[in-house]
Amino acid sequence: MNGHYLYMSTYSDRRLWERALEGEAAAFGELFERHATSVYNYLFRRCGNWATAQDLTSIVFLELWRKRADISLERDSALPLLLGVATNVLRNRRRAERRYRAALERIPAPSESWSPHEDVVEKLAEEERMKELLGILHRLPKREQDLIVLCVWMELTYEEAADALCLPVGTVASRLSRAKRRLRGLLDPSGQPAPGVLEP
Amino acid sequence: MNDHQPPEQRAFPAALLRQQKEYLMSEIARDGRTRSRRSRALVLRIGTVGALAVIVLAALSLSGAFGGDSSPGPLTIDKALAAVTVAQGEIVHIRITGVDSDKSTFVQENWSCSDEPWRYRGMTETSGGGRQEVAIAGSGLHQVYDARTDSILEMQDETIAALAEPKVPGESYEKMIRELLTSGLAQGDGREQVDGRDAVRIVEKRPVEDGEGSENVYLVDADTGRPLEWRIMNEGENRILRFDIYEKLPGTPENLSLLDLKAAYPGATVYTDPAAFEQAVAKAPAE
Repeated sequence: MNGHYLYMSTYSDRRLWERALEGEAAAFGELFERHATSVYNYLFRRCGNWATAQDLTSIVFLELWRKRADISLERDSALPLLLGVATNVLRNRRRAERRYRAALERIPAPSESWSPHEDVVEKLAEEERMKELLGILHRLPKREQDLIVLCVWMELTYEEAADALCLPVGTVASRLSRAKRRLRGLLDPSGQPAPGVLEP
Repeated sequence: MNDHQPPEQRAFPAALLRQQKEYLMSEIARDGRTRSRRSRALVLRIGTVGALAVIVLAALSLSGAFGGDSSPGPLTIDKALAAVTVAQGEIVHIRITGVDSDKSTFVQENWSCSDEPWRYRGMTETSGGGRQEVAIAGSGLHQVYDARTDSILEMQDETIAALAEPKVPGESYEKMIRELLTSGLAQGDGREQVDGRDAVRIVEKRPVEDGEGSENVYLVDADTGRPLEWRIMNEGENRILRFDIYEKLPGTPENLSLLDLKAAYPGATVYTDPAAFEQAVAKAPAE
């Protein structure tokens, strides 16, 4: 099968998606391998918990598959689409977890030695830091939070964020500019830009 | 709170990646089994025809039917690679017309300069009527052009300023060409005519499994090595890319202005306030 995977790795996401729709499982597997890390980190940056982000990563892909009839991948990269799905999964987390509970239970345990407690100290520190950041972010309206995380923390372009959230590019630009202004005020009432939050 | 940055990204745990990938694949396979069976039969038929065609072409090639350079080898690859390697200060201008197997077409045109700060302007137009045109630069300049209202939104975007190289909308065929030529799987495969030009065929065959496989035929100008056409064929589906333009321009001020949307559309209304741009675009009547 390795030769086949090597061959798959040359496809654009759009082509992989088309192949997956035709029932080619390896194409969907390649999409997962290509974007699992980005989806995982996006989820962590939204929920502040590595274990939850890990569980939800598979759910995002299962949800993408469930909604395949309504999805048309216009871009060559599937990442904006996946982060859009991830945003909705987070918003309806309980429902998504309920829907996929049985499916997730069917996932076999990792075949090789792997511990969920790996890097536990570092992960806890990161979760603590993320919680603080999210505490500030959550003071913004939800739709502005989406754009700060997508465009600033995940470095999506305005066009990609527009695709992810099904918005016009102009709306992304204006909403993001409002969000950044508001966030600057929250971080430093003197109006000085605080380093980090507004830079990728 | 001194550090406002989110923690560095972590890789998805490797052991879980493999196991969850396999699980997802089994779910998809179960779902699409019926359709897969049908398409597989078709693929096998196409694969058989393709294999016969390859044998015939190889025989013709060995018998000298293509004449001259039937096994151009590493020299051809080097020449083709040199043609897409850009020197400092140069601007690359590419215009590609693409046709997919479903007959949908697209045109992609871009200008790029990798000198610091890098600059990029790109336009993509699809047969479905979609059009997107942007210009971005390592300085953080971000321009969006709306053709319906002939207006430009110009912003400073720190997200773009932080990128080491332009994040190109759509596929970067230049990058893909370089990957193809350095993959070790590409080799010279005779000659043919493309629009009356003598072209060298560079073929990349991907590993074949169960009769499935793919072939990339990249055609370059026999004299200069510049790209002419790229046929990406995968199991009955294909995409043909015609390089209408592939040129390297010196980085003169006049040429550098090609990377700026305001210079490209001097009559356009320029907005710096995203909300005003959004309003103007929203007000424009639909086509």
